Amino acid sequence: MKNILFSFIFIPLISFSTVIQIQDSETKEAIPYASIHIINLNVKVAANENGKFEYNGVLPNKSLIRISALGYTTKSLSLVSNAEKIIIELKKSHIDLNEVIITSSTGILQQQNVANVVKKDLKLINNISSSNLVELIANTPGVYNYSTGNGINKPVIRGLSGMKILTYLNGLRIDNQQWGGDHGISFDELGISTVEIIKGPSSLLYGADALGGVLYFSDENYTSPGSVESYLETKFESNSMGVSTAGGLKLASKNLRFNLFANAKDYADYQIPNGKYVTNSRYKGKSIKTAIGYNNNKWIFNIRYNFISNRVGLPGHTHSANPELNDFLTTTQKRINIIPVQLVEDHYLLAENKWFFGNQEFQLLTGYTSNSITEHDEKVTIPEIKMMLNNYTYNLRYKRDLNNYSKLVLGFQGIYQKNKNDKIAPTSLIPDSYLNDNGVYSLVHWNKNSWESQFGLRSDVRVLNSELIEEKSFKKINGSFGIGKTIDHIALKLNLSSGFRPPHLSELLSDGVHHATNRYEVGSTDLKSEIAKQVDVSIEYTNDHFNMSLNPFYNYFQNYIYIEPQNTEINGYPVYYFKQSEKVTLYGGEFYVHFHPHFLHQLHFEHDISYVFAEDQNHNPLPLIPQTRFNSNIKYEFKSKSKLKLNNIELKHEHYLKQNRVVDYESSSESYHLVHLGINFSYESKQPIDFKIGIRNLFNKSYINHLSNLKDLGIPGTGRNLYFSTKINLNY
Amino acid sequence: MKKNRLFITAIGLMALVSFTSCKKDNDSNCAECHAAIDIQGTEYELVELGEKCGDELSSIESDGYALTDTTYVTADGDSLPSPVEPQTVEVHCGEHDDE
Repeated sequence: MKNILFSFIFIPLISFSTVIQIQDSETKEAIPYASIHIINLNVKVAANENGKFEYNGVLPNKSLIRISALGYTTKSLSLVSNAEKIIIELKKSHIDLNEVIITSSTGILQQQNVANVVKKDLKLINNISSSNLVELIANTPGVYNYSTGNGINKPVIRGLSGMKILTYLNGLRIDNQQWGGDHGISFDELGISTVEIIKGPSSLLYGADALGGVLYFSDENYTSPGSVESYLETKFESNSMGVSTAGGLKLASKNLRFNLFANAKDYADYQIPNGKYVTNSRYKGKSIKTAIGYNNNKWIFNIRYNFISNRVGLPGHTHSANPELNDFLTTTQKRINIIPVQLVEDHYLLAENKWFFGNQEFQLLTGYTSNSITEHDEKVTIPEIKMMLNNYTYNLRYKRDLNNYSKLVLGFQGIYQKNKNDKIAPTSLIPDSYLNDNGVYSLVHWNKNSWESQFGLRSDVRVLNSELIEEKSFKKINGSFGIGKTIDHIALKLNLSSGFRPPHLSELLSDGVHHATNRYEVGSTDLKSEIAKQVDVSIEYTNDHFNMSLNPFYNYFQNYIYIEPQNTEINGYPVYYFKQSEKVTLYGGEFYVHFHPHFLHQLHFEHDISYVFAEDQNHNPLPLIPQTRFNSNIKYEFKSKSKLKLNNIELKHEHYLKQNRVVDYESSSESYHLVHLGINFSYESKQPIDFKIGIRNLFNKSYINHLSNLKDLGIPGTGRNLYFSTKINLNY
Repeated sequence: MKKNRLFITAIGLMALVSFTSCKKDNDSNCAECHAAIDIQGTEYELVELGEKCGDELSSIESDGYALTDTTYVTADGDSLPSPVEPQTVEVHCGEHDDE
C-alpha cells in the first residue's frame, strides 16, 4: 500500500510492558516528545527525546490510541493488548488543520462521525483567557452565552438554551434547574480537558430533552504508570479584581490511577466602560474533583466525584418604584456578601465500568447528582427559595464489531429524578415532583472506502408525578440517519436527526412570582411534548494550508414552548404565560475558514460566522435569538529554543450585528465590536511554567449582548479587562 | 529532593482543599433590619429596626414586626401611596447595596 503510515510488530505477551516508538514515515528518524493518548484509559503521556515511550501497565485489548506531534499529521489506531513493541510512523504536515478526534460519547472517529459533533480542547481555545467556562466555549461557531452578569452563564446552541439543551460531564447527565434563566452551569473548567458540542436534536444517544443540542465535557486524563504530575495555577483579572487559584495532582501505578483537583475563586463587582460598577455582580466559588481509575486487560473502572459550591450575587435588583440605570450601579467596587444572592451546591458521583470480550464491549455508567439552590431575596436567615434536585442515572451500552466495516451499539439509559422544596422557604417555584425516564436505543455505524453512514432508533418513556397533578406519561420514538463521503480534499456529510422534550414542571405548573426574573409566571397543564427534526449539512475542504467548512441547518419544531407577557399585572409584577407554538422553524448555519500561508507557517488566520433565523407558523420572530456573529482571529506562533520563550500572540475581533428582528415585548440590540489580545509565554525546564497575559475588550467598548439578562435594565457588559495567569507544573 | 517536591505539592493541595472546604467566609451573623411592606410591587421601609444578631435576627425575620398604629409615611418621612393599618409586617434584613 502506497501510504502505509504505521506498522505493528507483535510479540507474545511476556510482561506488562509495551514500547511505543514514534518515527517519521519518510526519514524513519525518531520524533521526539510526541504526545500519546490512550483513549480508553484516559491516559496521556509524552514520548522521550528518542521518540520512545514505555508503558508499564496493562493495556486493555484493542486500546484506542492517538498520536500527535508538532509538524506531523495526527494518527489514531487500535492496539492489541499483547503487543510488546509498536512502531508508529507519522507523516510530515505543515499544520494539523483537520485533527483526528475521537468523540467520547460514541467512541467514533470524528471524520467518520456523520453527526455534527465539534470537539474542542479547552487549553487550545483558551489562548485568550475567558472569565468562565461558558464564555470560553462560546468561541465555537453556533454557540453563545446567555448571561446574568459574569457569575451566571448558560450555554446557547443555535438559538436554543435552558431545558432545550443537555449537559453531560464524563457521561453523567447534569441537571441544575436549568429551566430558570438565572440558573447557570455550576461547574467551571477545573480538571476539564475537552468539550464536545453536538448541535441540534440528539435524542438517539442522549434521550429526552436533547432537543437543541448537547454539551459533553470530559475530564483531564490520568498520568502514565509510575509518574507523578502536579500543578498550581493562579489567575488575576483587573476588571472585577478577580482571583482564582487551582491545583492538581496526578498519580499512577501499573494498574491504578488517581487525579485530584481543587480550586477557589473570588470576583468583586464588574466594571462597565464608563468606570462604574454593577452592584452585586460579585461571585465566589470553590470546588474539588477527584477520580480513581483501575484496569486490567479486560476491565476498566473509574470512579469520579465532584463537589461545587458557589455564592453568586444577583445584579439588577432595586426597590425603586421607577428604576433607572444608576440604581443598579455603584462608584466603588465591593466583594462583601450582600443580598439578593444565590447559593448553589452540587455533588456529582459517577462509576464507569467497561468490559472487553473479543470484539465486544460492555459499558455501564451509574451516577448520582444533587443540586441545591438557595436564594435569599430580603432576609438573611430565611431563604425565599430552597430547592433540592437529585438525579440517579444509568447507561448500559453494548458495542460490537459486526464485520470489518460496521459496528453495532445497543443501549439502555434512564434517570430517576426527585425535586424537593425545603419548607423553610416560603416560595416554591415548582412543586415537589418525581420523574422517571427510560429509553432503549440501537445504532449502526458503517464505513467502507470513503463512505460513512450511521443510523439508529430510540424509544423513550417519561413518567412525571407531582403533588399538584395526576401522573403524566410522555412517549416518543426518535431516530437519526447520517451519510458522509470524502472525495480527495472534500468531505460531505448529511445528517437527519430528531429529538423530543416533555414540558417541564415549571412550564406546566408555575403560578407565582419568580423574583430572579421579576415576573409572575403562569404554566399550563395542556402543554404537549416539543418535537424537533433537523437536517444538517456539512461541506468541508481541507488541504495543507487551508481549511474551510460550511454547515447549514434547518430545524423544524412542533409544539415549541415559550413564555409571553399578557399586559396584566399581579401584585405589581407583569404576568407571563407559558404557551406553545404549533410550528416553529430555526435555520441558519456556521461558516469557518482557517488559512495558514505556506511562506509563513507560524501565521494563522481564522474566521467564522454564526447565523440563526427563527420564526413561528405566522412568520413572527422568536425571543432571545442570538445576534449574527463574526469572529476573526490572527495568531502568530513563535519558535524559540531559549528557556524563557514567547509562544504565541493572538488578536481576536468579535463583531455582533444588530438584532432588530425581535418579538413585540423584547427590545432590539445594537451592533458592536470587541477586540481581545492574548500573549502566552513559557519557561521550559523539568518543572515548566506557563504565563498568560492579555486584555479582553481592549478598546473598553460599551455593549449589551442580546442574550444578556440585564439588557432590559440597560446594564452593559464588562469593560476593559486585563488578566494575568501563571501555571507551575511539577513533574516527577 | 523528589520526595520533598512531592511533599510540598501535597501540602499545597491540602491547603487548597482545606481552603475550599472552609465553611465560614466573611458571612456575618448580624444584619441591619427594617420593617417593610410591599405595595403594588414596590417595597416601602416603614421602621428602621437597627442591627440584629444571632437568634434575635432569626426570630425577628420569622416573626415579623407588629405595627401598632396606622402608618402614613416611610421611615425616611416620604408619603406612602396608601396608609398601612396596624398589622404584623415583614422584617427584611441584610444589605442590598453596600455603598
